[in-house]
Amino acid sequence: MDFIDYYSVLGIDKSASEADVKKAYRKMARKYHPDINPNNKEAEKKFKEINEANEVLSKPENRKKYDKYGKDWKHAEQFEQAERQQQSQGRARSQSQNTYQGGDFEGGDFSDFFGSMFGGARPAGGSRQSRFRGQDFNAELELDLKDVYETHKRTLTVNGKNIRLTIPAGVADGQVIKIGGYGGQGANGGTNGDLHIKFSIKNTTPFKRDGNNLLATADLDIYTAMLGGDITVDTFNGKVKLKVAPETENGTKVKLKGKGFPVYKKEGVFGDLVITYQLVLPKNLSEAEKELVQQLAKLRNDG
Amino acid sequence: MMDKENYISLLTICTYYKVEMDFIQELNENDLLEIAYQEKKPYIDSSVLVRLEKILRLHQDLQINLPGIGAIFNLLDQVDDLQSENQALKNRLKVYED
Repeated sequence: MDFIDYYSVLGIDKSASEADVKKAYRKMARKYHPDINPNNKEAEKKFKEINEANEVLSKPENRKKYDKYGKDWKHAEQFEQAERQQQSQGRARSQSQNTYQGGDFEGGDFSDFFGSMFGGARPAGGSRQSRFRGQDFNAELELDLKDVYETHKRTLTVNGKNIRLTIPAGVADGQVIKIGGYGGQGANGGTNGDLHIKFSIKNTTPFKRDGNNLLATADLDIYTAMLGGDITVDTFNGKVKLKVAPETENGTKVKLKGKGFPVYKKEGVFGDLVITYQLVLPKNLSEAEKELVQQLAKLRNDG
Repeated sequence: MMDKENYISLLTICTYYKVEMDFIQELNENDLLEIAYQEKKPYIDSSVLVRLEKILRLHQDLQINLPGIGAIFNLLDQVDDLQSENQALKNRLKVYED
């Protein structure tokens, strides 16, 4: 747990007046407020920091305590207790301190540093709106490309609640789906919030995904390329036999209709698989091979 | 006609969020929120509560006036479009990555 310099968080110096603190906080809140920074985790983090700094510096009693102990904050509690004991000599033993329960500040938890110095006090600025409708929850789900080739069910645990979800085949990387009613609980009869799940899809397959199409390369030996023939290539869910036309050039693309990725929420509809042929030259030629190739070259050059 | 399940009387809204009826009327006038009437009583659809809460936060936390909130919403729509476009482009670019 590290000391946090709340003055530098708000970009003010120690002599800043209450009005300066307020001004600096407002200025930064306008910049980092989550409502104007959608999907920006960095801004969200920053907003929590400035709220915490404001919670300390805008309240005279908190600021006094923070200024007094500064980097010695770890011992602040002991110092305070010692002082209290001195002041109340002759009275009964000092009562144990009441500790606050951690508040559920909507902008997120305060740091451990804040907690240890001020307890888990809830900000009393009153700026946070209590909610009628429950809060929306955001979650990120990491899946492999193979997982989203087929529609499947999955159980997620969000805020201690198990949710059984059907994940439709063909979900895109970065796509967000909304699950109504699975967010925070509404108050006074208000509806629950929604759960937003963002899919992060990792691809560990040899296929590249381009929308609903899949792209892949297939090695082709020069003899099959020149004379034509059959080869077997991998598709996402098995192998297929392909007819290679004679005199096929390097980089030729063939499209396998319907062998691509499933189209989101269109059952039974698939994109295409585009195979690019990559010619492979034979290596470590034997003497006999060299001789034959030389003959071939001669034939070609002499007509 | 609204779905009965989904509407909330303006009175409930005002009581809960501690806002004046006039304020909601002003939101309506600024095209930030739509008030619907049934038997001459004002209601709002529960689907716009997310938007209402956002308006209240912007107004109360950041002291932004209503035309300013309207401008922010327009810009946020643009940010949303750009983020979707950016994500789609990133997905397409992966085709060229090893």
